[in-house]
Amino acid sequence: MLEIKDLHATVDGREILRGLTLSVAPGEVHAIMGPNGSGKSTLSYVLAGREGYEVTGGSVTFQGRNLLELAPEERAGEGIFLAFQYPVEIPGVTTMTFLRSSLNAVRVRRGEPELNAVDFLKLVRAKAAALNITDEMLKRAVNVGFSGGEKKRNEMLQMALLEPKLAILDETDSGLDIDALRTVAEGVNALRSPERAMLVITHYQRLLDYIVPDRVHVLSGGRIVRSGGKELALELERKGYAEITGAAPGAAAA
Amino acid sequence: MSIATPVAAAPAAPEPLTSAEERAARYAAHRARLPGAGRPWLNGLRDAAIEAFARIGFPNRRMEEWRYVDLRALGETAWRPADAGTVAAGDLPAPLLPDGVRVVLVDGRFRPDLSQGLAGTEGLTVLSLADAIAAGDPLAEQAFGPADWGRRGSLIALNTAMAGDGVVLSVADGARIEPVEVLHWTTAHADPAEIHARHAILLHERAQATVVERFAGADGAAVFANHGCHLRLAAGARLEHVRLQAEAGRVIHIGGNGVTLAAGAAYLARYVGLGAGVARIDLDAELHGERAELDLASVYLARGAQQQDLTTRVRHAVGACTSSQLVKGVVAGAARGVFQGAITVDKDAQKTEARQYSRALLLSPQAEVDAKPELRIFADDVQCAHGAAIGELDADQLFYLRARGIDEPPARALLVEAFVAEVVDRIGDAQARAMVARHVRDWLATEAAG
Repeated sequence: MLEIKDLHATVDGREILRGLTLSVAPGEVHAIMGPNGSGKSTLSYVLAGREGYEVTGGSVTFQGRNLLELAPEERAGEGIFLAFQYPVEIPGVTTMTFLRSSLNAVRVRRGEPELNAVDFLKLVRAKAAALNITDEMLKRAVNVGFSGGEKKRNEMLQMALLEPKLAILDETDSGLDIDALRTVAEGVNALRSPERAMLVITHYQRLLDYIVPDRVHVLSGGRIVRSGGKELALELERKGYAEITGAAPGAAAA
Repeated sequence: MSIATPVAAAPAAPEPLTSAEERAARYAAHRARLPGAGRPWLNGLRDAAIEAFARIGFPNRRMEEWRYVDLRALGETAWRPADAGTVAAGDLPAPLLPDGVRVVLVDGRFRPDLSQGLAGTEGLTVLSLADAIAAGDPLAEQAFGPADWGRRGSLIALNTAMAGDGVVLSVADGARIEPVEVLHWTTAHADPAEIHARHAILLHERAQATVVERFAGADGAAVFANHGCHLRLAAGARLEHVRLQAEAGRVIHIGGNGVTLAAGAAYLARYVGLGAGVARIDLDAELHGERAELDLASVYLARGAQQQDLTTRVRHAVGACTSSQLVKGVVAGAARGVFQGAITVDKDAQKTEARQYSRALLLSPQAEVDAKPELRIFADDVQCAHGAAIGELDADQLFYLRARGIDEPPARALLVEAFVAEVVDRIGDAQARAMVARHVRDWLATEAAG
């Protein structure tokens, strides 16, 4: 489904990804773990198509298409979803308007008809209830005044509505207490399916207690230095990144 | 069919007017054609006004208050006074309220035939300025307001000298008036035409009203539309004044608004500008009764080669008054937006609260915004705050929307609409708010379509 080959990418002229290779099949959940500065967020932004992240080498194909030539909105239409580490606040745009614009834009790209206001409301209420998102939250401006947990739940709601083929969860556990983490993880697990792949990017093993991955990769210095099963995450937790990556702590970013 | 046209019977078309000197020199002939030419008080006012205009001349960019807006066309175009324009009711936009009071002026002339609900609302008097002058109605004299051109510039002086008609709205003591719509319609002219109209909105003690002014029209030759409006709010009066400027592209729109507020009066100004080629709006506010409140929320949208200039002069003459100004601008293409805001707090105006914020959004590298706050504070116990910010659309917000499948043009439109909403949402009257929101959305849709 997703084939990343020898990917190189720079940000502000600095090379962050240095030959990353990764293959993800439908139905699989892959965890990408790594220390700060290893290139985790860069990978997620490159996959989502953010400006300023320049691909200087390698390739990314998604369901046989060259992902790198697509605009961010086209990638969303193809079924790529990035759950942001820091969901963006948009004053003046209600969450409801945002969700509806997003869902209908993606539906049109998939060749499906737009949902009318009534059907949309029914759908969003059902999905929101499962994530403990109140009507009051839906009426507020996008992420404005939301707690950390509310922001992440809002990301999960968007994912549930858009039903992506590949979900990239960028540090979805950051800033969450244990209850919020559990709610978010339940939301993610509910979306696991044989057609859907997930890339779970995280610094800590904690999230993987709740979202159990099929494969775990260790990212260091812009490339994957080790891959294994879910037990690799536990090994990392025990030994720390330095021992696994063979680098001194803090040197991984260099 | 008669072939021979009696030439002598047709009134000679007035010669076009260009320079300020020419106007002053030939003013007597123009004054003779105006309503009320025989009334000494009006002759005196008009003569003083044309003298003031001739002394100052048309605004130019060497004048401090006019440095950002290019109005050279005013003094370089051969303007003719606009003919009585022809328009059918069906050409006009639908009324704000199907059964509400609607005053229609065409090319500055009051048109009872196109208006509706002019009589029968208790506490509301609607008059044409020309009729009020002809009838010797005391409202006519009140409608002109103070002759303070020295402070407000030459265009309001020219307006005073030239205006022959306009609308006068008067709301009686304690009356509460549902929205009154005033539609200023500009017809298409074959040659450059000038319009000078003088309006007044007078609220008596504790009166409450909403007045929705709309400026719109048909495409044609260049038009110099010079609207003066005197607003007087007596003690405890409260006015929401929605002013939507959506003129056709070749109009130079001048809007000189002067408001005086007595004790406890509140003026809620909701100025929205998105039309005309060049628009210059002035708001002169005098707070001369304690606890008076001025609350301005304004937004302009400009694109192409448009220029939108809002200039405010707020004077706190007595203490314990509040003034709050929020001015937002959206500037695309090679357009220019200007906000000049002066606040004066007199020596004895203690306990004044004055706030002024301006924010502008630049949508293109060629767009330009000038913001000039000016605070003159002579009292020592006051709270004053001001801030000006100019920026572009937030890249993080734009990426977030695009990552959720929304195309870039609608994503940008959504963000601009959100930026503008802060002002639009301040419009208290629901119908007026919806109308303004519709204009903004149409503007954005055109912009998104490129």
